[in-house]
Formats: sequence, C-alpha cells, structure tokens
Amino acid sequence: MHESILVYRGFRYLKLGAGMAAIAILAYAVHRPEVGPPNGGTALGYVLGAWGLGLIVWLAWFGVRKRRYGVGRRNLEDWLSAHVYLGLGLIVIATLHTGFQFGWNVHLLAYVLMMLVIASGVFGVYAYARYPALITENRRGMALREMLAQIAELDAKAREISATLGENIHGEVMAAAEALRLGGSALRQLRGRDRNCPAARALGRVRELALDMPAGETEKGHQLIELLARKVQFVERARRDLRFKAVMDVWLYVHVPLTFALMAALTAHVVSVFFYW
Amino acid sequence: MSALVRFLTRKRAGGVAQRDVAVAGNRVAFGRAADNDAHLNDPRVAPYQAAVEARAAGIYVEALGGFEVTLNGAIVEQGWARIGNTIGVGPYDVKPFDPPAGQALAVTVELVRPMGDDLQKLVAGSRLGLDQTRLSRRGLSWVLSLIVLALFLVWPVAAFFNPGRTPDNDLTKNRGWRPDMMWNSGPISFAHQPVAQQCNRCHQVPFVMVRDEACTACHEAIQNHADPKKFRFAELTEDRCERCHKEHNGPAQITLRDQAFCAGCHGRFREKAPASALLAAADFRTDHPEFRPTVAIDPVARRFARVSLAAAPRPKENSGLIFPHDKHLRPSGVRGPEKVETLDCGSCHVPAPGGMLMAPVAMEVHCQRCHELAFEPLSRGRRLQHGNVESVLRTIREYYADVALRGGFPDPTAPPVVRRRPLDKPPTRAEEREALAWAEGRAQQAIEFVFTSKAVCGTCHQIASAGSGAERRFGVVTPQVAERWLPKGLFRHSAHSTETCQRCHALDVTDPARFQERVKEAVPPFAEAMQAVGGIEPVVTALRAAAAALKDAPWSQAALDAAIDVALVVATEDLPQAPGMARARRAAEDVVGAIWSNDSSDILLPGIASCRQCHSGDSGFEWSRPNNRLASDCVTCHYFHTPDESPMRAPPAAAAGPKVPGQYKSGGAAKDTSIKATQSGIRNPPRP
Repeated sequence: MHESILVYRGFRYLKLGAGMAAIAILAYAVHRPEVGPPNGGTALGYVLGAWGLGLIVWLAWFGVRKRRYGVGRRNLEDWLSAHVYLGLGLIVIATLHTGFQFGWNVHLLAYVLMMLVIASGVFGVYAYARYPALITENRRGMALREMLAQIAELDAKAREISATLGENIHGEVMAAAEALRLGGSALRQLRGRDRNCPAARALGRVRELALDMPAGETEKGHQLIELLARKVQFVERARRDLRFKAVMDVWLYVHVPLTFALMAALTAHVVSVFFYW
Repeated sequence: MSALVRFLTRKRAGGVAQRDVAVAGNRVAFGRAADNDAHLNDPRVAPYQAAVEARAAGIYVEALGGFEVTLNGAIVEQGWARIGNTIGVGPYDVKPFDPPAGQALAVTVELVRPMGDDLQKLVAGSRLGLDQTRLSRRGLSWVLSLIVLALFLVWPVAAFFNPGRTPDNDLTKNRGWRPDMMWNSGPISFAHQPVAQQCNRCHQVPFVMVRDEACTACHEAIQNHADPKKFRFAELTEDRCERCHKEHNGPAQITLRDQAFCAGCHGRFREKAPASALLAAADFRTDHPEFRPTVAIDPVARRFARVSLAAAPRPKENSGLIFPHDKHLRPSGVRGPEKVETLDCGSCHVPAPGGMLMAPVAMEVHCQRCHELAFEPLSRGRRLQHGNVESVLRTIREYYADVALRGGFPDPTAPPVVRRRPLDKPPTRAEEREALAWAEGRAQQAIEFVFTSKAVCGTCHQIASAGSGAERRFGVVTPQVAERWLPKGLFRHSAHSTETCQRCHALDVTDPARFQERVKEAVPPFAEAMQAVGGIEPVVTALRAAAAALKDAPWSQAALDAAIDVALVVATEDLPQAPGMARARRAAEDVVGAIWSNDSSDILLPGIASCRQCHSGDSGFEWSRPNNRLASDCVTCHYFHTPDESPMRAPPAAAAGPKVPGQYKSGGAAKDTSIKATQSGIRNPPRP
C-alpha cells in the first residue's frame, strides 16, 4: 500500500503539488511589492496566505474524510496521495507567504506548528513504508493474540513441570508468570524492551537452580529450561510487535494534536492580522 | 486406505463425547487452518503444526514449519510413536490407538489444556497498543488548541480592551512588554520606534485598517502633493496614508519608492495635468527633461524664470552680481592683503549645515579681506559698511566734515582751514562754513567715485542712479543669488563629497562650446609667449606641435587637449626660471583657467547628462539599467509631500487621537523655509 499511495496514478499528486509550488515560486519571483520588502501583507502575500489557509483546512479535512467510508467519488487512496503531496507543497506556499520575515510572534508559532505537522506526516509516510514489512517478518504468520496464547500455554506447561521440581523453582516459575506484563506506557511500548523482564529473569534463575538438581530431575529440568527459553523468545517477539505498531501509531499522536493546535494558531494569526489591520 | 480421527470432549458431569472424522489416506495433518484433516480451532495452534502418518515401520510423527510437537513430553521434530503414546500438538493431546479394520491409522484428539485464566490474566495485565495508554489524541488536541487560543488570541484581545491602555504622549516612558506585541508582524520602522509599545496608537479600531487620523495625530501638517483645487486626482486626495507608507517591515524607511507609481501620472503629464507647467518624466535615465533651474533674469524687478539648460543658446542669468570665477582661481594666486594667495572653490563655497546646500557666500567673510571698501586714499583704514547705502553716505559725509573741522588734512587742494595744524586756534564761524562747504564737495566727489567707479561698489554690483549733479541719488541692486537652483529637486552636496567641484561646475562641463572658444582664444598668445622662452625645449616643442595643430581649422579636440596638457605643466609645475617665463606662465594660466567661467551670467550647473554618468532610473528590474549605475528612483531627488502645499488631511478632531505638541509640524523632506516654490516656477527671493 505504501508504494501505491506515493506513486498513485503515475505521481498525479506529486505533479500537482510540484506544479503548485512552481507557480507560487514564479509569482514570488516576478511580484514586486509597491512598498517595502516581500511580506504577508502585499497583494501576493494575501493570495499565498489564502491559498495556504485553504490547503490547511482541506488537508485537515482528511481526518474527517478518512472516517467516512464510501462517501464521495474519490477513494481513500486518492485522498491520501493528495494529502501527502499537497501537504508537502504547502511548505513552499506558506514559506513564500512569510516573505522570509520571521519574528517571535504568533505568526511564527503558526508557521512552526505547520512545519511540525508536516514533519510528523513525513515521518508517518516513512513509518508506513518501512514498518509493515518488519511487522510481517517478526510475526511469521502469528497474530499478537496467538503469541500471547503461546506464552500462556508455555506458562501453563512450565507450571506443570515445575510443580515436581521443588519449591524454589516452582516459586520462580509462578512469580514470573504472575509478574509478566507486555506493553505498558507509551514509552515502554516504543522502547520494545524490558531490562527487568520477569520471563528472562526467571529463565536465568532456573538455570542457576538447575545446577543443583538431583540427578533424577535433570531431564525435567532441561524441559523446563527449554520451555522458559521459548517463552522468552515469544515475549521478545510480542514486544517487538508492540514496538512496531507503536511507532506506526505514535506520529499520529503528534500529527493530530498539532493539527488542532495549528488550527488554533491560524485562527489567532488571521484574527490578529485583521484585528490590527 | 483411510484414517480415523476421534475428537474426545470430556463432559462436566463425567463421561466422554466423541466425534469421529474419517480422513482419506494414511496421513493426518493437524493445525488451526480449516483445510487440515484435524482442524484444531485454538489460537495456540499453528496453522499447520503437525502430521501423523501410518507407515510400514510404525506411526511417524512430524513437526511442520518449525512448530513444536512433543512426543511423550519431549520436543521432537520427527519421531516414531507407538499405540498409547501421547503426541502434544499445542494444548491438544493426540493418542494413537489400534485402528479398526480397514483403517491404517486411528488417533484420539483431546483438548487437555483449555485456554484459561493464564491468557486472560496476561492480556488483562498488559497494555497492548498506544490506544490503551494514557495518551489521547483528542485530549492533546483540546489542551494544545485551548492553550494556543488563550495565550495568543484571548489575552491580546483582552489587553486591547483594557481601559488603562489609552495611548499617551509621553514617548520617553518605557511601557514594557504588552500581550498584543505577540501579534507584531515585524519590526517597526526606525522613525516610529518610540511608539512601538503602543499598538493601539495606530491600530485604533478593531478590524478597521489604520486610519489616516492616526498618522495626522502627529504629522498634522503633512502637505499635499499638489494643489488639490487645481489637480483633482483621487490618488492624490483619497488614498490612505498606508497606501504608500507600510509599517512592520523592519527599521528601513517606509516610503513608497516605486517609480512606476510616479510615472503613472508624470509619465504622461501633459494629458494628465495640462494645467501644470511641469514636463513629463518617467525614468531618470531614459525619460526625464533637461534640468530647468530657476534663475534671476531681472534683479531690479526681482524677476525669476525657469530656464532649460538644453536651450540654445545656453541661457544666462542676471543676478546683479559681477563675479568672474577665473580671475579668482588663477593657479598663481591673487593678491591678498598681505601676500599672494591661491584660492580654490572651498575658499568661498562651504557646505551649509546639514550638507544639502552650500552656505551663502558673505561679503564680510569671504570678500572683504581683499575688497576692503576704502574710499579715501589718504586714510585707507577708513572703510564703508557693506550692504547699507544710507550708512555709506553718512560715513563719507561725516568723515569729510570731521577732517575739515579738525584740520590737518594733507591735501594741497583743500582750503587752509582744512590743512591747518589741529592744535592751532579754533576756526572762526566763517572758516567753519568754508571748511564744511569743502567737506560737502569732497564728500560728493567721493560718493560719485564709490558708486560709479569700478573700484568700490561697482567692482561687484550693478548701480542704479537717479537725478544729476548734487541731487544725484545712488542705489545698489541687491544681487539675487540663488541658494537653490533646482528647488524641486533635492541635491545633497554631502552625498557627492567624493567628487571634485570641477567635475560638475567647471565651464567645460556646463558650457563646453564656450569653453572651447576660450581655449582657442588663449592658446595662440600662449604659443607666442612660449616661443620666447628658452631652455625648456621639450615643452616648447610639444606646444609648437599643438599650436600648429590648432591653426588648422576646424580645431580638433585632440589638439586642444594637447595644448591644455602643456599649459597645465607650465602653469602649475616648478619649471626652471628662464627669460619670458613669467609671461608664458600667465598665458598658460589663461589656457588652464578657461575651465572657470569668466562671466557672471554663466549658469554653472551641469546638465542631466552629468548626473546620468552615475545615476540611472529604477524601474525595479535590475536588468533594465546598466549595472554600473545607481538605481535612482524619483524619490531619490524629489519629494511627494510638497513643501508649502496645504495640509493633506484635515486636522484630526480633538478626540480622534493623541497629539504630540510641537512635533513633525513640517512633515515633508528637508523643508527649507527660505525657498518659496510655486507651481509657476517663479520663486520669491531667498533673502530680503
């Protein structure tokens, strides 16, 4: 899918976005303000400003559009491809609208928010291009739910075997099963690793304890260690899966709230400009 | 051949339910996928996990795709099972039993570890996915946008409506930071920075463009461009100040400099404003009339006229002043009160404060050291006051009456009473009358001399007289010397201080034809004088060549230049003394000095071509002008707000805005109150 939205219909929207930017650049090069340097308040400044504002509102409308299935003539792929390329074209239009005048003011705030929204969107495109393949590779045909079931299954088997192997080992196995948590806070999901992973710790502890096992129990001990090792593998795979999904999702937690902040800043920008006309 | 798969389900009440599935062939595949022979519907089972096959050697167990299969509890990849063994496939136990007749293989399949609390507990204790964390897109969106709106919209608006924020005129007060400064779209221009902390000084009404009243509150007398009664153009009277003066673009000027804006009217001026005497102009380099300085043409009637420097013959002025520049600028100098002095332009012409104009030349400062205004050769220290005819007459009469009554005046033609020794007995009444009669006669002679000879007033001035004999009255025509020749232009001498005066004001620039004539006159005597000089052969030879070339009419520029080069050497270098050298040098000075005007009526102003050597117009497109020329738009030399025009906007009502007393009364650029420019181009004299 990632390829198809970028090359959608022979780069139709790449061409549209680049053409838009080229027109803006040409107008900027030719236009000479009557008074003062190029800025947002000249005739061309107003045109570029209105153009940029319209684009931003339209780009934000994608958030609404993508939730409405089967509405409109164009499909969502079409919309997304346009969203990406026209959003990139917005960089040129908004920057020319500033006339390269930047100050510590509400106008810069709106510009910076817009650039952050675009940057997070670019990361989103990157994430959607890169991570699905990694996820598929990591899952090897298993859904997360199946990995969890495997972990539970291994836990149950381990508990069964360890019950005959003395209190210490049994306690370790039980505690590890009890304490195991996958995912967690956003940061933990994004990190995808747990240095105090109960499953890994239990494996280590059981290995140590197995050294002191009576001769008759070593066979079961080995089975237990193998079960726990396989559990650790599943835990790691599940965590990696969670990490990939979190990375694929997290940019939206920047993209969407900053879009709303941008809308607020744009409101302030436009109102202030005309309040103090 | 076929196989039997028997699914066993233990019931809660005890007892076992069984369901048999017949499988074609002798191999049974186990997995979650529906196309397995034994479909094990449990998430813990892989889609294709294991296969059990009846072979001749026994029951062959095989793990598929790397998934785990146990045989009697041990993990195997493949192995041989016997009847009664337990094959573990995920949570299922698979047990071969003796196949009924006709079957190759028979197994029971039983779910021995139902999915239970373990998975539920694991899922419940974990947060899988960002949507299960405390992060919330909706929450973040609300928080961020409300913060932005509150800080950057509500706060500044509230500050605007704060009644304590009425602007006041104490521009020295530091008001500190205000929330609405967050709206400032760019730095305030240099001149307006003192009001930069008071946004509402200019932005008085929300959602209304800055009104002209805000500007005229301070710039109350800013002038019209032209008389609005004569020239009724909307762009002159109805456009807002802000049309041309845009703020918030940094500390540069905020003046409209667009040449096209001016050229829009002035480029087709005859049709646009036929009532005006101005000529059309659209671009300094390509479309601008020759300069038309305002010069005096009759100093008695004080009449002035704008004359074009392009007119042929070249126009003259009549200021009433007689001053030959060439006599004063001789390289060998002029006779000063004590010694010979060499003068240059700066001896008399110095920039006026501000650097725009040159300061007026004053008799008392610049001339009187040499031109002392003495009137009696027997008493050279006695001088006349300059500029006051009454004082001159009184001074002369008093002087002669005084010496006549005091006696001791050493003039053999005077009566004895005037010549008597001052300490002799006082004169009688009759003698006094005689002395005073003599004094009156002498005074009358002196007055005639002072006014009519070329030695005193007449050196520099035109004299007017009326009556005759003792009744004759004299007056001096007040010279009408221009302080500004081009009152509609703004020429800054200080901006051109890297140039020499000569570059623009020498005769070879202002009137090349007359310069050539003068050189042609001066060269033959110079050549003659050089013939008589011995000992400087190379110079003479060069000069002879030049003189020979000059004899051939028409005289070539090259020959003139050669003659001038030689004359320059003779006039200014220290050449060895030789007989005839002094004469040759004087003749050389005549040649060299030809660049200085010898006629007071010369208008020593350069034409527009001189300016165009460095200045181009400014159409706004760099490639439209030679790139070694300055881009000079109209505002470089002209003003929009014309001094002496009426105020552009009606004075604001008292309540409309704050007034700054005593500031910016004049508004426009560099207004000089001594100059009264009018539309007709006639200008009143700069000084009474």
